[in-house]
Amino acid sequence: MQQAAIAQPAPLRTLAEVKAEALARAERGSYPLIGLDPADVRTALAAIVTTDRDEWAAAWSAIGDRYAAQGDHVRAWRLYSFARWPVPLSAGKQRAYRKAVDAFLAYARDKRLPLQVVRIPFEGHEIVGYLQMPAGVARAPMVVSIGGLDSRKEDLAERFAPLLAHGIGSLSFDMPGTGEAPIKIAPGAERMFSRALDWLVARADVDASRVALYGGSFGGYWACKLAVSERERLVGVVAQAPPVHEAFSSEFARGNFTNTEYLFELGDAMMSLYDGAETYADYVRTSPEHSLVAQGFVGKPTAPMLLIAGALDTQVPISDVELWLRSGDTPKEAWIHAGGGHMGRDAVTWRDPVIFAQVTTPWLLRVLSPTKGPSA
Amino acid sequence: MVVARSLPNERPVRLNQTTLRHGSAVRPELFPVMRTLDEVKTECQARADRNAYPLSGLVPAEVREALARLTSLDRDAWAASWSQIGDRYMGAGEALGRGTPQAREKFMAAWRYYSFARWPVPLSAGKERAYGKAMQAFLAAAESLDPKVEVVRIPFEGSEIVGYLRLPANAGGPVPVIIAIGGLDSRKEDMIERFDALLPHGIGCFGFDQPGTGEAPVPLAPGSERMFSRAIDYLRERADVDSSKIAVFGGSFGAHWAAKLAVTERERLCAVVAQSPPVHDAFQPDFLHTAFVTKEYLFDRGPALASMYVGVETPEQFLAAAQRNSLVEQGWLEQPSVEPMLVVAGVHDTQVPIADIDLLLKSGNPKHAWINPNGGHMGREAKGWIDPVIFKKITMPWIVEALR
Repeated sequence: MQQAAIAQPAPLRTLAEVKAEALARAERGSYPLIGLDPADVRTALAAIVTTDRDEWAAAWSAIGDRYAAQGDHVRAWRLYSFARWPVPLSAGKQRAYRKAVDAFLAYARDKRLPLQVVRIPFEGHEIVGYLQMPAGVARAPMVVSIGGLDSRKEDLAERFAPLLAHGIGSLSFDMPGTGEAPIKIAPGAERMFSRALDWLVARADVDASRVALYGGSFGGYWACKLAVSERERLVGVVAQAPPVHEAFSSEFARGNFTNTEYLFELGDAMMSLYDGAETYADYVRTSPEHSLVAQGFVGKPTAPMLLIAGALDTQVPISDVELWLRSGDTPKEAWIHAGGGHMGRDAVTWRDPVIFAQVTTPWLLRVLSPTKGPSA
Repeated sequence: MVVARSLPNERPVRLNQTTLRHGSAVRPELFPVMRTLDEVKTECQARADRNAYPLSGLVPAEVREALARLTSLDRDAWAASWSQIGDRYMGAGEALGRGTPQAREKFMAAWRYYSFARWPVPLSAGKERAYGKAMQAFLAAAESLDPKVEVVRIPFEGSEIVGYLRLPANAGGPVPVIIAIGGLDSRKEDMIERFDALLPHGIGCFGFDQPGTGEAPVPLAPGSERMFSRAIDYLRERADVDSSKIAVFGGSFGAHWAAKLAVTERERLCAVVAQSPPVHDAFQPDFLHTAFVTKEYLFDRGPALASMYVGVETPEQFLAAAQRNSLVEQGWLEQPSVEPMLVVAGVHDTQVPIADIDLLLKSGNPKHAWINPNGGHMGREAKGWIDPVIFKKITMPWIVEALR
């Protein structure tokens, strides 16, 4: 029994099944293949014959290179990103990640996005963020956005760009343990975002009284933490499918290795985030330490919040969202999709961009409006 | 038809003949007493002093006066003491002259006292009389309202559904309407008063008593939601109503019907709000035993709940009848539901457990929710998030947006 419990489970999907699932998701424009051309997906998948990570990276990057050469940086970025997906656990995937960042920045220049790469000094390192400020606004309200396990500040900068038209700026980050973040996950790692807030509210072009925060998936974990630790500085926080407590149980940690809602490698990707989790056994043993109950965040006063979740989520159990909703001192708003999976999404109607446009955006506009959101 | 006893110089108000029938079988003496007389008095005064449910709008000094007259928990004595203040306001209103705004304030005050005189439900002859007077007072106040309150009588299964319809004035065309359903102890009059705030947004209100209460023609039972389907039929026939913009609001027990209609009428409704809806656990004996004695409710909760069912006399009969109303039992939770839908709730609710809200949120189509971790029934708190604040800051903006 003991032996079985510490052995890392084998993935449930075979390579053929990964390919079939990836193509199906591409064809319906669904996560994590949103924006990829199904024809390109077919070409890349045909070039992959083993589960070797470098081979995966090479197949997608080859198509990315072709688009990059043509100057189509947005397509190149999406392909390079999928080449490093979910996290760069091989040298080839690391190269793909660098290319993804470069392609994204080239895309931002082409599109004339008002995007600046900001580098905030932090504990001898730096926090890299993408800042986008609206034109013609003296002091802009802001959304700070935090990526998840496999989404990056590039994805967030793109997602939040439409708020510029509403006069709202954005500042996007990779979460601890991912991308260019200066630290891995450990208790207190949210301090990197507190540092970023210090930096943000000191800017003359920012309305410090109107700063909101968004985190999706694992990014929602930081959103919940910051809703507590930074409640004085945040007018609203959106947490979409945040892991809170049960998602960190050893049982859940083990289950991540056989999760099929996630395309592949959820367990390995998770393991890579934590400071000091070198082995499967380390990860399963120490995961519960990151629960927001264990860390004393559940029940604390929070900033006004919107929670978004799907009742069928297999990566973050809906009980985690229920726990957070019923805790703390402040009423919380929620959007719960009974038929939704992770992030509240489904395969047909409530896809990620639809939830963002119809649920997340109106809420952010409300809490960032000069007349403020609801409070008693 | 039953004709209510009328005051001098007053037109008799025609009451639905079912009005006095609800709960006629209940034997309140078989249910637990929730508070002693002294406890009732203390709690009433405390709630009146902070202008809280179910004494919102009553004057603390007058509450003291009415409470001082009470020497027992006798229901007729209760009705008489509060009605005495109601009569005073009624007389003052008549003296100022019907149809004037000055008189309206007096009639509204009379309505509030008569309503509290019949609270929570008319389980005695004195309370029945108070209920009749409450309606008369409200309609007297409504005479000077602009826009008017139209008393609509819709033929229904050999009886009639009585609804109060109030549409915005000077509308350029058909208007959106929210069907507002009262709860165990709130009535269509309360709904009209509360949704008054939507008129400036161009939204009308159609207020109803829920099945088993007030003038509703049917008792609380599976299928009683058909009275609201009939009301929707009626609205859709009116040229001054935009039939593509009909929504439903239900609060407390009224939200049970809102949750049902979100499924049964999903094709004809464009939005639904359910505030603290009883879904499943709220109908189970284990929970109802505690709900009989919850201090969150002022008194008479058991017999009031029992009064909504037809032919129920004893607590045992009530517990047996209640279970049939579970939305799980009836299969409603497996069905698609209206979008958008807003669910409002409080985690410490002792009348509708938060587990019912979790269950509803995990059923049907996606739903919006507003959950107060410190809130009780209706999501309310003693301070801060009181009923009018929740209505103004949460419910109303959501409805205005949904009906835009």
